[in-house]
Amino acid sequence: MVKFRNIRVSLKTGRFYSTRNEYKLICGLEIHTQLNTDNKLFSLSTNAPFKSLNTPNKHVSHFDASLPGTRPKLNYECVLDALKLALSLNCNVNLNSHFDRKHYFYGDQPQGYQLTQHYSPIATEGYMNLYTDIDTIDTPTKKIGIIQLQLEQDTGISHYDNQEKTTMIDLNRSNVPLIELVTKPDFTTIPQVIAFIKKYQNLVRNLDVSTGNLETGAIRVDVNVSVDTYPRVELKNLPNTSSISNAIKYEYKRQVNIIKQGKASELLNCQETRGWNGKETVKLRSKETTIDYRYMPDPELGCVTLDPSIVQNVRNSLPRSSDDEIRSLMEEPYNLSVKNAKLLCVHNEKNEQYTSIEVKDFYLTSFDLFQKSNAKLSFKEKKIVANWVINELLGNLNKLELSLREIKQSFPPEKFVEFIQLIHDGKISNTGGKTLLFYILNLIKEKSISVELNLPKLVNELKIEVQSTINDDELLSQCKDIIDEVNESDPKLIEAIKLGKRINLLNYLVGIAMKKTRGRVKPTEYQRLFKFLLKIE
Amino acid sequence: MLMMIRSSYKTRSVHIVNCLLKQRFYTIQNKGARIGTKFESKQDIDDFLDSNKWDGQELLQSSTECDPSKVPTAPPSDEMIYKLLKLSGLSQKGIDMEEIRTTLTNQIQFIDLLQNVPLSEEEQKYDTNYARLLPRDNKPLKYNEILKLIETQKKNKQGSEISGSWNPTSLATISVNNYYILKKGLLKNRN
Repeated sequence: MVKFRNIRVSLKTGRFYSTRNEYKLICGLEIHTQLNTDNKLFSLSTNAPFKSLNTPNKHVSHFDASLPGTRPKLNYECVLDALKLALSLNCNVNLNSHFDRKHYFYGDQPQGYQLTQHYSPIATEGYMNLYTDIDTIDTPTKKIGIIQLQLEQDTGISHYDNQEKTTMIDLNRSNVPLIELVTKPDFTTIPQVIAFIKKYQNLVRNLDVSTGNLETGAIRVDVNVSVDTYPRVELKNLPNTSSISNAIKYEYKRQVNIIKQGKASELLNCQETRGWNGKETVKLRSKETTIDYRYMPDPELGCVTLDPSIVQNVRNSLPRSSDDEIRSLMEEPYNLSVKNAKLLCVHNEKNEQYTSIEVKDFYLTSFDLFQKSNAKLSFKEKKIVANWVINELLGNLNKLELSLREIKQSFPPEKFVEFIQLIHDGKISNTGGKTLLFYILNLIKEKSISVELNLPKLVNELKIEVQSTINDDELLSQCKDIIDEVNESDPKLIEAIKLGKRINLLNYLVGIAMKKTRGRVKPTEYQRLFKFLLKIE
Repeated sequence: MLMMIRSSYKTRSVHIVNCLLKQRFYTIQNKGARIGTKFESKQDIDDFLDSNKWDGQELLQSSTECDPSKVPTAPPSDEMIYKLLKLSGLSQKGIDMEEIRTTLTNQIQFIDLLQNVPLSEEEQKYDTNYARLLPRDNKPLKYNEILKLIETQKKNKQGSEISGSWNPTSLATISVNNYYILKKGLLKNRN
């Protein structure tokens, strides 16, 4: 069993691959990122390829459709976004980049070539650092080198109709700005690849240069996989991180098997492109069928010539990095766990109830207010705000399908801190707090308008105030009833508690009692009484 | 290939004139380009385009005279011609191989001419990044200038940049539900 568990853990972390020292996995990435600028790269038609899937060919200028006589005009919004990304990835900015034509014939590319920056990209020689605690990789740190970062056009979208044997073409995506990023082949495990992609997604969202979504095609990843010194295999058609992970696993095993069978000189002797069909990688083309793109400098576009001062100016405009944000939240005065700190700093793509930025703002404001009204908070007390924001507030928002924006009007950080103060001061218990919080949020949801919240009044109405004077006889009777109820349904359980075999079960009884009294009595009181009744030392 | 020829031709046209086109373009060398008389009708344009101003063969011959040491370009092989046809999306069936070979040989020779134009010392110092039609004295942009460019750029109200202002598929021979339609299957996998 132990062995089995160890193997599973190894697989999960990717160590399964790195431990096979005789066959070293080497990966590099090519990532295409759609910029979320208002307009396209070489025209000012609207850049909304995903939103306009149901209205084909709506956002298409004459240039996007490549009508004769049209010329490209660079949209500098895209240049600025590329510079932000380049500097965030510690790249050297090319102050004199230019565009090339990459020729190939395809229905969704009406120009017959793609405008790209193959030979003189806007940035080169950068890197991204991964850390074991923040990025969940299997080494303390890992530096991934970046070869280059270039601006280029996206193509239109082809929809294949296999029955009619036709292709339907939508040019809404034609000329949408892309950044192509090429990493060095520095990845040696799958968790490193996945960590890089996730961190990159968060980066583009933090910079607000892209939606960063793999599922919508805003980010498209190709992976180059090789084993030892054999030529690389390029993997395409990888729509999400699980496909990426599974495709690399499959391809690694396939190449290792070829090497083991002694067929490497025959089957791994040249570069190859393979696709992922969900189960296996399949050959798309080999070196013999490599496309000759016939690059040439675009004669209609000038060089992108930038003043050296722009590097510092753009750097000054960048938001603080997520790594720095996470680290600062893990330190004094917040002392958050890495999990909670990440929750506040890593952009969540799917949650409609709140964004990480909104939660972080709510938390930081609440924390500051709470700290101001409570001098000398202990380490444990400082965590109360994070616990109630992250565990309770967000949990309830998800449950009630309420957005943080909606509730802030009636329940701003000031009111939230007033609520936490009730718990901190012992006026209501944690159980009472949970009842009150759910009641407040449900009230906001039902009223759908701003609600005047009088917390002391609500505590009174809900009868959740912790009782200062306790009637022992009444409580004892309550506890006896609970023991009888439990004994009736599960006598072994009470026996187990009595024998002290399962000490946590005492808390089970306390929980039942707290629920019945809505947390008006402190749990320690119940513990004392249950121990007395069950004769536990 | 024609695009390559056009591009190289335009970027180095002045030098070509100096070396190769002494007689035909004498006026350009000495007086610079000039605008001719205005076309009055479509017929004028057709006549202009139909009339031979210079002969490609003559140009290629004159180049050999200009540099007699030059070895004639080897004609492209059948294999190369098939590859070029495939790259250009053209049929490989029913072709006149010899005619294509002659045309390509001339084109390659022409490109050779362009690439071997002697440059002055000053010209050799040019940054090849600027080997294009646009001005060499590109003013470096500062951060605020880029911000201003972004702020002031506007969609062309008379043009096609306003979403839905025109129907792109109206110009297509076949379209269905605002999609362009391609009848033949296409390669599904490419970069």
